[in-house]
Amino acid sequence: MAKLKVTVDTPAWLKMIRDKQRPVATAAVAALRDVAAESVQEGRSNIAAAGAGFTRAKWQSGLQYRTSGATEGGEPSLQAKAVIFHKYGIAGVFEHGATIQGKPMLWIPTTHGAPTASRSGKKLTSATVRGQPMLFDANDKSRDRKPLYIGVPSVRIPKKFRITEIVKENVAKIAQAFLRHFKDT
Amino acid sequence: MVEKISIQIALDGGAEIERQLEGIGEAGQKAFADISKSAEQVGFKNIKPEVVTAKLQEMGVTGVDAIDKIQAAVARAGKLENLVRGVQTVEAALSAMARAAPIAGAAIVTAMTAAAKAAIATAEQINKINEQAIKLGAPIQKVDQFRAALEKAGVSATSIGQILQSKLASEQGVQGLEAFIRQLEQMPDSAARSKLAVQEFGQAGAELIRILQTGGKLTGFKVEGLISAEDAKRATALGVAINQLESSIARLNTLGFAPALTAGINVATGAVDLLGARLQQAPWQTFLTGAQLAFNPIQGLVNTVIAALTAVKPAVDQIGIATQQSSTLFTQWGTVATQSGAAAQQAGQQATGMFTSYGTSVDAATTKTQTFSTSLAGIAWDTISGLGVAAWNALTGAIQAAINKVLEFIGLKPSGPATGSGARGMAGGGLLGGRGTGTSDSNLAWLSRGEYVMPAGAVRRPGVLSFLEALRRSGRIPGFAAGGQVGDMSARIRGIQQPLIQAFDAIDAANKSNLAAMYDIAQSILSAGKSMDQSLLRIQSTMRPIIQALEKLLGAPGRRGGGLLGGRGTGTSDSNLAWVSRGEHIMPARAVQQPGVLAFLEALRRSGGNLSRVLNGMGRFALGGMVPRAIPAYAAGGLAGGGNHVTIQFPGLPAIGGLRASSSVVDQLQKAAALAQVRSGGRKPSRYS
Repeated sequence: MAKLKVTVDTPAWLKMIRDKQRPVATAAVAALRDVAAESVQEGRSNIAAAGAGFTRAKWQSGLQYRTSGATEGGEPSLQAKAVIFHKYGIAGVFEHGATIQGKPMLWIPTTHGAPTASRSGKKLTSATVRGQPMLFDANDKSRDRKPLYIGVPSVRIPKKFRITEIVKENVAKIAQAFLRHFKDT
Repeated sequence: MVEKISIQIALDGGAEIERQLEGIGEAGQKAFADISKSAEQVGFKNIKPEVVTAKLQEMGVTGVDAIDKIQAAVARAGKLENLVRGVQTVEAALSAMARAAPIAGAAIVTAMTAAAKAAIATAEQINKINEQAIKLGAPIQKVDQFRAALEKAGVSATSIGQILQSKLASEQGVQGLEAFIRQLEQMPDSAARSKLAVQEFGQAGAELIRILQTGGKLTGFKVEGLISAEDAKRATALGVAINQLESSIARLNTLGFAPALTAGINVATGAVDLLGARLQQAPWQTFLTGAQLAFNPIQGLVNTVIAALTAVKPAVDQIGIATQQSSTLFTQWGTVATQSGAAAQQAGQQATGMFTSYGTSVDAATTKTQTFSTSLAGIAWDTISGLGVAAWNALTGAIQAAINKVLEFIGLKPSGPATGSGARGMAGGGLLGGRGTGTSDSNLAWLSRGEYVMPAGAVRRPGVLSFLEALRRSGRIPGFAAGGQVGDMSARIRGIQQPLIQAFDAIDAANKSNLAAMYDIAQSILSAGKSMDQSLLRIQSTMRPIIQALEKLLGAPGRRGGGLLGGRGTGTSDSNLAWVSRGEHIMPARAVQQPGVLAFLEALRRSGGNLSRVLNGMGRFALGGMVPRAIPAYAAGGLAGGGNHVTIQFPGLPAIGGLRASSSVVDQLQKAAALAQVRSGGRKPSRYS
């Protein structure tokens, strides 16, 4: 009577596993890109809606993403990463909020759009009126002269962006994106 | 510190996706439980998705309007609300679960691996059964039949082994087992089979009943006492694996894996069968016979080779002896050669030392010669030459005056060629014809002051005439700035360049130390020239009677040796009568007056017309480059290789002119001058010192 002998072909098993892993990884990487792109798109909209000063294109286009490790050895990789970042380092101030302090004062112009005190081009003189530091035009000797700058010790810049929250919201949908792409593979 | 916006999303092996998919699956399962519960409430039992879907379709709930219609249906039938919601949820969940096949893919891999391991264990168990049956003397066919019957009943291989072992070991033996199996096969009612199993296997039968009732499912299979705990555990694992496999295959069916897998298995099976068939059909006997037939001549050939090698061995031994003797001889030769080599090396070292010493001496001599030559080049030869020319002119003027007296005496016009005098003018220069040989001075010609007569012997040398003609017509030495072969001077120039630089340095040093002395010499020469002039005047008066006698005898001065003409008049006046020879060449004064031409003609004349040597001495322009405007003064000595005029000005001393140097030397001087300017620009900061 012939005996039954079963052997396992390891390379064949590995190939089979790899063949099954490939469409999974492909869909996962595509889902990652979808999530990142969607986050950037929504983030740019969020920046544009943050108020005056952020409507310029450079603030919006500064939010970008890049992926790394999408492939390993020519095969799509489940170790892919996407980084969503803003080109302007100062953008983090509006994402997280910040407090700016002067040395010793921050001089706030009383006229909208006026240059900073150091670039005013005028000779300024300081005075404290009712406890409030102010800067006047030194050449203006009139009695009813108005302060050009008002000194404050610090200024709190509120949080205006919610990029991190947007990314988290989109990451929560990565499985849906994965299924959508897996269906197409 | 401003915190930048930088948010990283990492797949991390798909962990987040898997977690979310599990959530979807859990939601689906929960939804399915809800819908089942709802179905029970509305009267459905054993609800299945396709049944519910069909029911909904019957109700007209399809497509995107489903929710509205379901809401309406809920409004009409309150108990359907949960059902409809559950159906919607479970439909979405099932769809998601179907798409979640990658997880199933991983599961199938795990399951199939487990199945393979279990299959191995099963195969080992079957082998044990066979061995047991053989040991007990039972017919193999019978055992196979029993096993097939038990397998058909859903009993695992492990349990089958235990049962067969138990029955075969009993008193009834094979007959009892056969009766038992037949009894089982004839019992269509599972309850009756269970009862029989309990009777036969006691406590273990209780577990067997459950197996039989579930149609062969092995999940949770456990038989106490009948089979070992390890086998039971193994069988359980096999059952779990098979269940996972079935579940995975069912999921994969929706993705079309099963047909592909089946097709693959079929292909593989077919390939194995085909291979087996072919191996069985292979003409092994014929092949072996052919191999044997092929091996025989090979073996014969090997034997022949062995015999040949045996025969060759004495010869090889002889060769070995000869080689040994030769080795001794070669060793002796080697010793001699080594000794010879040492002697040769010693001789070479001596020769090297000798040649080095000789080379040092030659270098020293060369340096001294070059120093001397460059020193000569530094002398104000122009001044001396001018004094000499003045003295000569005074002398020739006196002679010419005497000649004029003679001419007046014989009736010829004293200034310029007389009409019908028979002597021709050579104001335009050129090759002389006439009678006689190249040195006979048989032709009388009117020549101008400053013209140059090239001897016939030099003119006849190859290329000289055409060169002189070109020089005469253009008034300039033919240039080579655009290239053209002027002789292979590259090696000589390369050899000269470095010594020239060294020589220039030497003359520089010499000039520094001897400058005052040189000027004293120049002043002395100038004084001597003046004294010479006065002496010549005295000579003129003294020699006049002699000259007159000579003029009478010769009629006119001969130009046999060639050279520059003095005399009176201008360069084109043809005021001087001279005896010239056939084949001589007259260079007009306007050409001779060009810078460097006189020195060149002198060099050419003194070389006997060796044009290539003179040209080679001019410098190498085959590769183009700046051609010096002045020709090197070879006639007056000095450095070969051409060069540029250089004037050196030392602080507090007059400028030293008349020096010549190559372009590289000039470049070095310019660099040194620039560097000196930099160095004299002020004190450098200490960090650069």
